[in-house]
Amino acid sequence: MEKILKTLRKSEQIAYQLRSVFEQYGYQKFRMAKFEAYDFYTNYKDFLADSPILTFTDFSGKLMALKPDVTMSIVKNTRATEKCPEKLYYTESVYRLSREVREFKEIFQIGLEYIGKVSAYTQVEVINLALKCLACIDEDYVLGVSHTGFLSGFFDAVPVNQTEKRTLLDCLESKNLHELDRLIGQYHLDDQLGKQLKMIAGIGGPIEAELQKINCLILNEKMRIAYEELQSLYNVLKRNQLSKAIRIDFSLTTDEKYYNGLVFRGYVMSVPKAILSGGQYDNLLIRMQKPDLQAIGFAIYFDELERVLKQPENHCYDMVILYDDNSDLSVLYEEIEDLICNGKRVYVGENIPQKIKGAVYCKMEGNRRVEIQI
Amino acid sequence: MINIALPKGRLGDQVYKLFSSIGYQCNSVSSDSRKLVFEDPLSGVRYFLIKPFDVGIYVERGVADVGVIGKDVLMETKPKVYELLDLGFGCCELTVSALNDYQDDFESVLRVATKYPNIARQYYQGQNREIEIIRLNGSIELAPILGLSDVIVDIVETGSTLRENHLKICEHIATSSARLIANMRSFQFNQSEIHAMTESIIEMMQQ
Repeated sequence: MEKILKTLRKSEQIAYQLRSVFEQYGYQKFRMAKFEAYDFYTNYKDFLADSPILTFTDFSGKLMALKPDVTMSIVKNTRATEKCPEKLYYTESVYRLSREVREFKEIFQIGLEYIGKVSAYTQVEVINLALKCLACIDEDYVLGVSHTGFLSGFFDAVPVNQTEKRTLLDCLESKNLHELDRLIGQYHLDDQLGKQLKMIAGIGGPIEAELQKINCLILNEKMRIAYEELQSLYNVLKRNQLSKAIRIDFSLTTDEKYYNGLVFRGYVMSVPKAILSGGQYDNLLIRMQKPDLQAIGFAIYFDELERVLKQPENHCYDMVILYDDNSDLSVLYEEIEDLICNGKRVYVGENIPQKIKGAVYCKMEGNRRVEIQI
Repeated sequence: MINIALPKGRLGDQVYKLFSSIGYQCNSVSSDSRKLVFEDPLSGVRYFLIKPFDVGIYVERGVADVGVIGKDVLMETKPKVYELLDLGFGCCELTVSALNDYQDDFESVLRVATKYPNIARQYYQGQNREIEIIRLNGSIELAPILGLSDVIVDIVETGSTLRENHLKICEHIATSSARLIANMRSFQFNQSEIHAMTESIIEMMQQ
């Protein structure tokens, strides 16, 4: 099996590795149809960040959509209950508008969803799996973790309206301390709150050190609960080396309509954008008439990964074998089967197309394979 | 090695002076040269000279770890980056300007010439005003003179170009200055170096 895996592209190898990790932890593959009735999304459009949906009319005249999101379909179909949770993972494509080129793009995702009752251990398990996924992709990785409760608790104590809150959150998101400073003055926030807001914006280091700073910022019960969740997460995960990659990062402000607890975003050194994104999303379940359930999950986006993980040597065959009318086809067949069994990638043909490159080139002369120079 | 995206032109020269004064010198950097990449292994820095409107793209996509960009361009292109510092120079105003004798006719669609279509659209949406955007790449002041547009949305530094072309400022949209931006991934992996950089810049600015 290992030999076969090595012959695949790096991104495909990673996909199999992630699936194997999920299976080991008891998550089962969820397979779904490519299309969903368009009506389904019209009810929950605010969860799709105003992204338009790619639609078509099926043979019966019904308007259908190519899935812009996987989680909503999983939540719609879930049979989970509080006592019997569902642990699922998926490998699916979603279709979204690309911000840069204003065209629809197919994005391959691998994701994981836990639906049921989210306990402290569930949070540990999911964060641990997110870290493991990042470690499968690159040896240098970081998982930024935030908590919507901490930010929303803080803003409960700040006398600003919704628009002003959004503007302040935008500053947190872009780590824009100079604009934050200006707005604190403009909105007449008292000195202590202004100072605390700037401290929140500056938090971004390893979890252990930052937890102490966060503890000093607690203003109310909501913030305390959030802090305790982060602390208990760290208390369990600190036994594992992987936890060194966790950073507290409140620039992850996210959408409170969707997320309600832990939120996280993963980066690897080789990819310039975040490749993993997730969090606890009980609010979506409430909107989808499943208020007794809670859920947490994440997705890994393969669009950037596939470009970065291109392996030039993958396009190079271990051996290129030429044959002609004088070649003994039975011997050729046996030789190729032997090479394949040993995990080699072999290209066989009468000619060598321009794009085909080999580590070794051979020719079948009668029943003998002879190495040749190209 | 840290990769820095510099905007070509006068602003870039100013930014390079600032960076070299805090230890990121690279003797080969010259805006007169046709070279676009300058590297100094001793200082551990590589500079890219980039058109100001493209700096955000290079930083967002991680080719450059940090870069300097005008707030006007940042507002227009909205790259997904961290905006770490207001450098306080390269200041200008984003304004709506028109011919000195222009009278707004609120009953007709306003024709707006600009190289900032997103800012213009957002600004007039806030006023519920129907507009027609005329996207131009330069010499915006010419548009109302030749009757191509009613107004222009553009940056104004001293106002002398406007005055010489018999234009006046009608409305103020925003104030712009040079901003230090960082790629999100690079920031996560090089936090201490980027923090040290911003601290040194703040110290220099305070002197």
